[in-house]
Amino acid sequence: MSREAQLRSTLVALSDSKLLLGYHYGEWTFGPPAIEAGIAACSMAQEEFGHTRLLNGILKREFDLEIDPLADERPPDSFASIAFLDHPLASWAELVAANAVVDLALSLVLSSFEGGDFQPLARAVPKMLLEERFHTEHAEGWVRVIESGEAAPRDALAGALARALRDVAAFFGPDGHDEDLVRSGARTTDDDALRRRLLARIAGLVADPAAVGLRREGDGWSLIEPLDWAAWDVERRRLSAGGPDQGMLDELRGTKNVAFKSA
Amino acid sequence: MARQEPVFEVFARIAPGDPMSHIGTLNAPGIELARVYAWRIYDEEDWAEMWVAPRDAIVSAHPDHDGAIANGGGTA
Repeated sequence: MSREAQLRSTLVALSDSKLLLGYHYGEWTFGPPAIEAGIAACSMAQEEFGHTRLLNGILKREFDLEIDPLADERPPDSFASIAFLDHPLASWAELVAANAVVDLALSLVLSSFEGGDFQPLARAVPKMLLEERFHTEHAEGWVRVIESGEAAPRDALAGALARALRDVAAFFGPDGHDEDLVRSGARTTDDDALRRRLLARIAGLVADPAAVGLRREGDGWSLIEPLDWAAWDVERRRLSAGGPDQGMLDELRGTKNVAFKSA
Repeated sequence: MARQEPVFEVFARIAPGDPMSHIGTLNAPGIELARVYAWRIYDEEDWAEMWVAPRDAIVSAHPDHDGAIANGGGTA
């Protein structure tokens, strides 16, 4: 894949995943265990949508690609989003897992453009990462709160973190898939190094890394059950077929309210 | 019954040199989330500084309330 094609597909993957992550944060404005957490979730939703808008602007200017969610008619199975975000998050444990693992993965990918030579993104990344710092603090705060509590919520969180870690490990792709992008100077760190960084961060955060599917490997961490890369889709950056729930996409696109759209 | 989370007091100043004002309170399970919540909830101004303190760490200086510690529990 050319540098331009790799850049474009990475930006689409970031944008699609942030759009859906924003949807889930928005969904959890109501229903969290504390009203303050609902306000934080709503606020994180606004920031994810803002980042999506910014990334879509770059895609339009630099690659002549239009993926504005309100204009977008792509079918679910063409989205390049992290599979963990495909369906409504059914519990607070899943929201915390998305916050701790999925959000962190997207921030790590963004950080790899800081210092790179793709200026449209390199210039935008510092402010985005400044906002993301609070997302990470929120996630890690909640992981610690749940882990210090009762067994049932703790187990629910461990299960959700384990699922999120597998989907995010798939998002980073097989080792070496993005080496051209790093070699060309667009990114400073490759996806394999980012995946290792993420796994180490989560292993250091939780009390029992094995419960979230992680094991020690050399001086780092890896999944206890390795991924089979045979089905990896390079454009969509995922192993599983399917895509985001159609109902979620309809809500994001305002499908039921098209009649109210200005001409 | 749901557990009572500690109350945190939020203070801020708009510009360096301005007086520090008490701008609100919140409930959080610990200081880490209290920081995040404070910045998210009280974002109506472009604050130069914002500080969060657990209510039960605030000690009365009034001579009639010698050594009293503010009640740290309850609803913010």
